[in-house]
Amino acid sequence: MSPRKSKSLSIAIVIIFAVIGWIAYFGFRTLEHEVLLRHYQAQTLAQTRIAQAGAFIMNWLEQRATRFELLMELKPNDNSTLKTLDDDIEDVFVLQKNKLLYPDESQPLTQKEQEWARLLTPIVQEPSLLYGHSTESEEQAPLAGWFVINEMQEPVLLYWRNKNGEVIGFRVSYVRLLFDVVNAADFHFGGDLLRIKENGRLLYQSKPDEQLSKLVRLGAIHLPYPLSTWQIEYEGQPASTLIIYGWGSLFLLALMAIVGLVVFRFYREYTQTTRLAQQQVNFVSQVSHELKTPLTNIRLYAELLKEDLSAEDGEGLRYAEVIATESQRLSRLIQNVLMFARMPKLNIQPINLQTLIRQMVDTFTPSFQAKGMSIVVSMPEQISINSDLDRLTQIMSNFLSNAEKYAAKGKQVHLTIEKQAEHVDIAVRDYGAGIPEKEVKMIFQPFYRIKSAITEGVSGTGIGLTIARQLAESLGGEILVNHPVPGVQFVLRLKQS
Amino acid sequence: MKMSRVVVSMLLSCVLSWSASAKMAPSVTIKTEIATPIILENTQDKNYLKVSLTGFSLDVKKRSPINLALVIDRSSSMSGDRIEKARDAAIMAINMLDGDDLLSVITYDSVVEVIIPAAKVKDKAKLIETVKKNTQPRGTTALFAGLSKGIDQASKHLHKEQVNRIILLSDGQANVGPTSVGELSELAKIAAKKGIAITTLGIGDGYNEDLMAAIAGYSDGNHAFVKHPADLEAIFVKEFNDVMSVVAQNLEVSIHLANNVIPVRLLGRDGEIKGNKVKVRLNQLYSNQEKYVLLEVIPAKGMRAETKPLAEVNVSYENLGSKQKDTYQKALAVRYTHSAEETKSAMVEDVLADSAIQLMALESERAIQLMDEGKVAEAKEVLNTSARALEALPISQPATKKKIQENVSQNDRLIERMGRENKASARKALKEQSYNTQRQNSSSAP
Repeated sequence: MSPRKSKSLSIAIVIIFAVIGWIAYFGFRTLEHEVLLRHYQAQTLAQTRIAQAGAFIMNWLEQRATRFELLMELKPNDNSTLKTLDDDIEDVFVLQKNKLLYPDESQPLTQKEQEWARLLTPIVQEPSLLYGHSTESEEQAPLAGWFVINEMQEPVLLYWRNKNGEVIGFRVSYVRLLFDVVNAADFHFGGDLLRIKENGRLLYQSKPDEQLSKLVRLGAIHLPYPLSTWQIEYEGQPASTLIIYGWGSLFLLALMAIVGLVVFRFYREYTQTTRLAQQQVNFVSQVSHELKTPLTNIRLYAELLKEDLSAEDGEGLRYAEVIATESQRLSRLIQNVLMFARMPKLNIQPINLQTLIRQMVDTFTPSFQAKGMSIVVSMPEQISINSDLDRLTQIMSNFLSNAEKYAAKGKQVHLTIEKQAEHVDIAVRDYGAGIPEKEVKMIFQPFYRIKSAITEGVSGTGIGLTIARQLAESLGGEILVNHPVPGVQFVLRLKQS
Repeated sequence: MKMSRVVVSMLLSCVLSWSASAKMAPSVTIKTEIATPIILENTQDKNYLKVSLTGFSLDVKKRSPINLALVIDRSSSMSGDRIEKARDAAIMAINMLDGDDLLSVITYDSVVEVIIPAAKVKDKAKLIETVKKNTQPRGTTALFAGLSKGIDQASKHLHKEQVNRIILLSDGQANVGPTSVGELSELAKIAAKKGIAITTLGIGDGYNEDLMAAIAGYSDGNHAFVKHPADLEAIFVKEFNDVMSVVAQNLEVSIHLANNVIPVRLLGRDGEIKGNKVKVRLNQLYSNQEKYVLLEVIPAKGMRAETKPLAEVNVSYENLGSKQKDTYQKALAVRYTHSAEETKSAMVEDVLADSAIQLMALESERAIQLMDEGKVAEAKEVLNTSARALEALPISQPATKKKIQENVSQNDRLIERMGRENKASARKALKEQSYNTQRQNSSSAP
């Protein structure tokens, strides 16, 4: 594999990977975003449902509170009848300052009543305990509220109101609350699960254990006071993200495969074209090689014939000369082709450009003169450059022979050398028909020839400029094309090392 | 035409009701007795006041409709024989009920499921099919939630004239939700307030007998230790006989003690003592069974030949035979004497025996405590001592003698069981026995 081919292959690979990488990156980011969105939605849903369940429980307290407020409006004078007012009232107390009016410990009490009074002792001693848990307003003590005594194994739940200096409190059965929650809780959230826990103990679960596999927690809250030991948890299925990632990745992979294939297809087409061109070149170079030997013979015998013939044989001598010149030209053409096909080794050396240019002008003057053309040279006195003599000569010859071939009617060719700060420009300008700008790119392609009146009837391989450009690149230089009017200027720009 | 028919029917119903009352509407036989009605002057010894209630015979065809909720543990520990027998028992229950009876079936593991919502028993085949389908064991034991749902279902159609009953079946420790004896007792009280009794059946050696007995106790239901699942059917039959023979409900016995009479404690059945007032509630009374309230009192001091009031006893209940509320009232007095001989001869043997039996039940509770402390030998000793003391009671009446003998031999069987069986099993048997004695239930022990 030629280095050229491997280079184009690596470029193709880089492009493929870049595009695939881009798709993968942005695709994945989109998927991530989608998953995050779903996750967020699921969490919002979970929060809503948790709040719903929380409201359901707190509503139980609110209902009692409302009822007790009403009862207190109708408060009978006999404290002992307070208890019989509502089925939900388990016990009652009436407190005035630090004195318990009911249950009245100076009267005989049942065992249960004695326990109740004992339980109230801390509140009797320090009534502000009742609202000590609410931190919102310290200056203004609230006049009613819930209170919970958590020290006992079974919490004691109280609703109290301060009415004209008397604090009336109702105890509601905590177990009753548990009982009502267990019975009334009826949530169905499809595959999702809601749990109500009291002090870490499971009270309600919306689905049996066996259907709980692979659920993840989406949210959990503690209820507000007085039920701060209560927790509501919500669990849902995480499977949706897997599906998004799964299908998403599949889609991305498909997209990447398609893009990869397209790029690869382009690469294949490109390499096929270059291979075809290479085959052409190989063919031509082989043929040229085969032609070299018979051509040498032809030239040799044409020269011999020329020497043998004297000036008298006017006709014959002219024929022999034509054969010799034409075979020489043919030989040059073959040389070009071979040069294009197999580039010889680079041989950098200091070159005196003056000498070189003089030689070139000497070589080309006869054929120029034959067409009535002249070469005008303008160059600095002393100028030399490090380069490969053969290749330089080849490039210059190409420029000059092009001018000779296609711009003969311009009569003049300007050869200039200009020394710049970093490079040396060697320019050949003719005064012919010039090259249309859109064709400039094409002329450097192998075997391309401008189809016009100029090229009509002029022999050429179509690879002269291609070779010249290759050679210029191999020397670290470049070929520029300018369009002065009339004509065209080819500039060989070489770096001054 | 229409009018006359109404008049006739009214007349007829008048005659019928009159003839019914003329036939003496059956009522609960109530007896109030004092262990020692004649007291030695200037002494203050413990005395016992017994209010005995005996249910009348009931025509089986005229039994009250039953509102039954079956709460079945289906946790994984019930797998195998237990759930099968429980299923069979449930199916048997369905078959024993009539179209007028209400039934609901609740199963619980870690969650609760009402597999048959409370409704009249109509399509038995379908109900049985539902039970069969929904009793596959799984999960843990959410007893609180299960029982809550049971109470909820039974409360759906509460009527005065029907017998409301929950049968709770479990073989394990409650391990989900509230599990303490206190909390489940509260739950039982909620049921009791609604007039629903909970019968608890503990299967095998794994359940918490204190918890199960407390639930039954606070709701005035029965409690039984089902050692082998195969016994379940027999226990169910017994339970059904009880439920179908309820003759009175919501019985309330209130004893108002006279001045200077001090109430000490209630033996057996629990109640409320406030000052000189004592109140005991019974959820129901079964046909031909005696239940009693036994109060330990210290009478006032008195002079010879003096008669002082001791207490006034009031009883009220809903008579399921006449569908009316019956009341009963009686004043009790004691007489004082100087002769120990006279005191002795006036003693009521039956009351003495019952108080001794109840004291033995208290000793059984103490034996359970000793067992919990690992003192099995001492526990046996306590049981043995109380049995011997009971035996030694000077009783002449054959019926009372028989009752004492039954209790003694039961006690001895228990002592023997303690030597033979594992601790968990013996403890459960002891608990069951003590529960039944305190509640005056006939024992289900084989």
